[in-house]
Amino acid sequence: MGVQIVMDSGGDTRHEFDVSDLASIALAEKRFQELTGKGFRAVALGKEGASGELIGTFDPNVEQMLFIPQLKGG
Amino acid sequence: MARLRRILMDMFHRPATRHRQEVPFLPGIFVREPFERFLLRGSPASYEARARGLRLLEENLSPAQREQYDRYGYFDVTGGETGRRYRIKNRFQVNVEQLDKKGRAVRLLCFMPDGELVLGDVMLAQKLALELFESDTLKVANEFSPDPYRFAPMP
Repeated sequence: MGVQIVMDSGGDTRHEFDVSDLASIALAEKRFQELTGKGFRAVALGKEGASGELIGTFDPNVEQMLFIPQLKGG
Repeated sequence: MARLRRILMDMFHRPATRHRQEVPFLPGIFVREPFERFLLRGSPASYEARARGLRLLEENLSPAQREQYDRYGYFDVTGGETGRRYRIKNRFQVNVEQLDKKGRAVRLLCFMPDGELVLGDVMLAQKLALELFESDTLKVANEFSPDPYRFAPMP
């Protein structure tokens, strides 16, 4: 199982997908494209608080993908 | 004796650090969890969202960062491209300090993710941004002098 975590006003929303189910992967990839198209950054979360990795293309093997909204100056 | 020590630690240490939160309408005022629950009553979804954000943050801090955050309410990160040290504090705005080699703030940075996000999410986004795409982050961040008497955007 993989999970896509999207930061939002409710804290976060989690979308799980089954890596053995093609339909589930397709849905996760579509969500990835939509979010990154809106300016979200996708990060493959690391273990034990390690920085992880910025990902530009959808990879179903990433266990936890975090989507961060576009940054702005305050 | 050990039990008494645990009780005292619970009374004085933990509330002052681990679950403290700034009261939205009282800047600079931090409260512990049960009191915060009282202050923010009437909005269970909001409280849940804050808790969820803090949980996500804590899950993604390194052990050293988590310990620092528990103890002081801030944690340090290393810029992924420059190796500079930054300190992310428990606030929504102007909460990131760039530190020199002696740990002194040399400038304050203000940047945040778009949208109405909870505090935990904001701090986690700031951490990952500095670690993974530091130069892009610094381009959007506004900079301020750490000198309280010269609190103005830096040239």
